[in-house]
Amino acid sequence: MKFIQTLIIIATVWLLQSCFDSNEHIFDEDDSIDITVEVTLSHVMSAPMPSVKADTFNIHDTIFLLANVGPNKAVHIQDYYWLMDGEHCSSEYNFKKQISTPGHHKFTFVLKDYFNDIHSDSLDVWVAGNPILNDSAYIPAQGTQAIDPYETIYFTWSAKTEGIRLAHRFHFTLNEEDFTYLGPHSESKFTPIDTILNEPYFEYHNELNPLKKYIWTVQAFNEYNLASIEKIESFFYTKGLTGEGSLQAKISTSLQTPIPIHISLQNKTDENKVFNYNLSASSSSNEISLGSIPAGAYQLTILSDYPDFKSINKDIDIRDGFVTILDNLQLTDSIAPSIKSITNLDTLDFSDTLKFIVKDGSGIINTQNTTVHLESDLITDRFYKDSILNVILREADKSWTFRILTISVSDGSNNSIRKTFYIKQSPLWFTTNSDTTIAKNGSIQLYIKDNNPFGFKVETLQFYNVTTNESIVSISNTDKSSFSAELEASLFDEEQTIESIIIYTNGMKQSKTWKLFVKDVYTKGGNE
Amino acid sequence: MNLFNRSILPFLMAATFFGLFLIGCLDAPDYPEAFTPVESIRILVKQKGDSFSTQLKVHPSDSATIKVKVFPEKYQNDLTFEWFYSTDKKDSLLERGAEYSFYPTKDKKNIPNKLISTDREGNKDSQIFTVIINSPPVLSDSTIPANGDTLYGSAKSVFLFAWYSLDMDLLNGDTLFHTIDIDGKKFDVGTLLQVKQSGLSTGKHKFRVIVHDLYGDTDTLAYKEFFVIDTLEAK
Repeated sequence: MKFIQTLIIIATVWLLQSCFDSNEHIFDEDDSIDITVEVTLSHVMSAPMPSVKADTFNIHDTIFLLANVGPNKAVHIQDYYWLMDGEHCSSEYNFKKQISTPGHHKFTFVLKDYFNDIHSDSLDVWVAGNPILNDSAYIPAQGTQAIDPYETIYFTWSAKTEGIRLAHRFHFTLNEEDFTYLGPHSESKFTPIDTILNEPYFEYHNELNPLKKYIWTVQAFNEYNLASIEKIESFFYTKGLTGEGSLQAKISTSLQTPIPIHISLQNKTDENKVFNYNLSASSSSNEISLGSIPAGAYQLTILSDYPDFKSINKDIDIRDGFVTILDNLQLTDSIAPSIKSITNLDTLDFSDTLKFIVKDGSGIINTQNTTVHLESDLITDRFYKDSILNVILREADKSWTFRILTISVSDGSNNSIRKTFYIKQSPLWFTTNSDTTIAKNGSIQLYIKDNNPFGFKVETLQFYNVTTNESIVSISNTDKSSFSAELEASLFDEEQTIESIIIYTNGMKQSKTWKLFVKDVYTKGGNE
Repeated sequence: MNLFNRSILPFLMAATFFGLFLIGCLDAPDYPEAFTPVESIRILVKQKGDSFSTQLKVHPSDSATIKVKVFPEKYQNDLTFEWFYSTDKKDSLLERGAEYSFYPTKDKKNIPNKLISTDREGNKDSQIFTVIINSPPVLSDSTIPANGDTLYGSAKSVFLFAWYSLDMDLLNGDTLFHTIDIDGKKFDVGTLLQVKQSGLSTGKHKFRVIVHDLYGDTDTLAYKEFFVIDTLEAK
């Protein structure tokens, strides 16, 4: 028992001993654990990187924000989070973010330890977007006229990058308009300018040319080489000598290929004052500058060598110091080509080569502008020369019935025409006259003789004057398979087309046209 | 004899141990000293008629007062301040105290550029700064066109706009930037002193010029009116 009591006393004394060892409870900096927080930012998450506390990023960049906690992340922590501009933005140690708002942003990592102590570290991020070029306020204004080509010209504009103060540079170009046609004595000695400027203005001291159009452009870039979406594309005109102006025009034509054009400027108060210009223009090459013209009121006439193009007539004023601009002169061809057979008939006899006259008043038609179909079959064997379209038919194209030949032609202005011709039956199952010339005092033996191999019975035999649209002889309900008659030349005109027709009882019909000429002197006649 | 049963010895021993325990607990360490509570020491300057500003810029035509402001303010009196004009070779003490008045001159020896703040424990904080002496730009009232002028031309022809600005600091690296305001539409024209602009139709128009220097000082002309008469020709 005594042993137990003694043991209790010793234990109690040993226990209380700790209360007397006060040095054990004094704060010793060496024994404390310093919690450190350090944040860095980077363009990449994993690669080794320098510790960066502030940087500027492109608005399209992804920013990686990294928090390092010392001695390690296993220390007793109550909470940690990131703030962006004072607002909660992440609960991770490391995270990535794309910032869409240009300008300055402050990121703070906050760590609350076991003892409620707050540890934090911050970093600064500037986000830059594309520069904004003011493309509505610049000098000189678009379309400015009468700039003295021999004085200094001032170009000014402005640009900024939202939310951040950045330096800008500017891509500036100045070019003289390249015209299809320049008036006499209009050779240009201008050297185009293409340069990078550090300031939002440009002074040009060198000489421009008088009465010319100049085009200038500006695009802004900031320190991060981000280009402005906006681009200034403007132009101005220079003036000439006192009392002079000029005319610049865009002549729209419907042809891809150049056409000859004649321009005339007739002074309305002085008929002796006429200015003529000869040039060519196409749909892609059609801007003209006529050089210096004395100021005054003029009648403008524009003609083409091609008759299908309608001429332009317009009253214009040439003003002292100004360039008169005509942007909408339409020199167009709306007339389609024409097609006719060389017999001028739409119903044609079958022939190895059919010839058609194809003409257009806007230049040359070529084979590629034509298409020929025999019913649904495309005929590729064709060629166009000297206004004649030759269509080659094959032996297999012959038929005992009418065939339809369709010809389409388009000109350079895409005006097109489509015409249908009929090709008569071939071979013919009958014989009859062919082209014949008789004397006025003579006569002609008309004949028609059926020899169809199918045994079709003849219903009608007929001679028809196509020229006068009258029947010459017609025999119906006949059981004969041939007919002939001699007629005096006095019954005919000097020239006519006669159609020999045979109609069978089954409704089938065959015919042939031929010409009959009546001459004063008999030259030659022939019967088939 | 059983002392635990027959005397007050156990009680005395327990009381003694308890007393010693309490004494031991009273020997607990003090709370660690807190960090310096001063958050920031800011330098401000002002001139006659203006309020104090952290933009350390003064014009040379009037005396200026520079002062230090401590945050939180309750610690302002716990610190002492010394204003110096500091060069690479030496520091010249100009004033002790939270405020110092000086007259901005080209001779900058009386203009402080260094502040040393000292707390009661002798800890020091040093700040290097620069007080900019900037003369504001001035625009001449003489312009082209002058107020009331009549210009002949058309909406497409160019008219000359010219003005003149001056700044005493131009030789010291300052630069003047101009904005021309024509009928309320502003055009930044940089350092140019003239431009030629079109787009002015027949009638009354107005324009003015605004100039600012690198340090943000500005001058603005009052609007000047002019009239355009369309002659259908360039003049």
